[in-house]
Amino acid sequence: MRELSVDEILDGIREHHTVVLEHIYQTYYDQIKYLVISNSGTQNDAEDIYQEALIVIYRKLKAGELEIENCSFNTYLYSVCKLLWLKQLEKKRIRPDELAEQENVSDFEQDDLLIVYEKSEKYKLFQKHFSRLQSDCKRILELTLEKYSLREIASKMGYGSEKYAKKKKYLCKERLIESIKKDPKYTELT
Amino acid sequence: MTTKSTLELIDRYLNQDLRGNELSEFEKMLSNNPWFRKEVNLHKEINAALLEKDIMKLRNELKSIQAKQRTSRNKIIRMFPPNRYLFGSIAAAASIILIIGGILLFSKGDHVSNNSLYSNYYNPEEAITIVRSGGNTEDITLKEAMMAYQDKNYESAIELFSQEPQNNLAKFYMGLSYMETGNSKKAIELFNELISHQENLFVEQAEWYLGLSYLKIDEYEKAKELLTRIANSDNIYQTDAKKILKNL
Repeated sequence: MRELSVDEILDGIREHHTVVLEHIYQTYYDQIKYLVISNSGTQNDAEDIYQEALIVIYRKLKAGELEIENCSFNTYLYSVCKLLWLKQLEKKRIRPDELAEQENVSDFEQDDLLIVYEKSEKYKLFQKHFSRLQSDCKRILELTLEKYSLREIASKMGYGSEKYAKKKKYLCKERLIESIKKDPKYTELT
Repeated sequence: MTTKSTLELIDRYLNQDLRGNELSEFEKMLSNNPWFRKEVNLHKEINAALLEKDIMKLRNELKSIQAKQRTSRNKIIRMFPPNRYLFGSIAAAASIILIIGGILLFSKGDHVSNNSLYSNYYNPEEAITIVRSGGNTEDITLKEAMMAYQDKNYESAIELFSQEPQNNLAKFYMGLSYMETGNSKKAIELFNELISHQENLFVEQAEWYLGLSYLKIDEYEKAKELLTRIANSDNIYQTDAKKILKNL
């Protein structure tokens, strides 16, 4: 595959373009892996950081806040991954001795990226617990958020009454909230 | 603990469904009670998170790309054990040919035994680093257990992990250690416990390794059932499970 321009890569991320996402992985993942593993991380950490860096970039793109100036996509991605991994190390109270300061991202942008990252981590946890709910619970909560009335939900789900739909809805919500609160990661993130 | 009625009240507030007295009381609680404020905020954020279908989709896509690339890379490494570096670029070219050959061979299906499927897809999980601020006995035991596991000293890893029977991480890695020592029955027991317990972070991995353990002991039907479930979910091993099913 030929070299892609920064804009082509960003468009690909914005549109979840599989070919572009695969290309990014094949071209850039190895150095991210090396970065993380050579600084107290595992392969799983590396994969996680790589994934979350792309999610953070996607979030910024979607908000229209992403500007890559004077550097290649490669350099930018590497800087974001390094920033996120430093943050994780800080949480684990490991002092990195080899990782130099960021050169390619301004202090202002670093703060901003970290705010997005923090929110992203939290939402990731919520989404993970959501994905583990039983499918009827997932469906009900989705319909609720899409502003369907209880009557419509009851009929879509094949429930006998609105009352039952309501009971079920709050039961599902309660289950979701409880499982989130029980996750040790939740206390860590809030 | 949130009671049902609080849950409903918060829900109605977030939908801007509260009026008059109910609303003013709610707002009073919000400003006076930090705990309540935190609770309402959590509900609000959860709602926002569940609406992010695009993010969930992108994350799954990235996961499956990683899983796919990981298996194809691991295959190359397995085909050229220790001295693979001697082959250099010839090896790279040859491995592509071998992989294509492998795929052709696989697609014949009936030539592949369940056990060779197992060894093709079983990748020992890497040990994880346990670093916590405190240094209680549980952490120390786990750390030693992980080191034993990392050093492939599975007997002592099992011994150490078994000292923390309530810890899910210990349970998971103990299962993996049993797999390494060939004691699939014990591994199956532990993975089943993790899965039935649900409230832990290892369910996805436990399902996958349970499936592989069943393959190993030729529990063909059980393996198939489990792998089908994985293939139809957003488990990180979804793609691998699909591939195995094709060959079963």
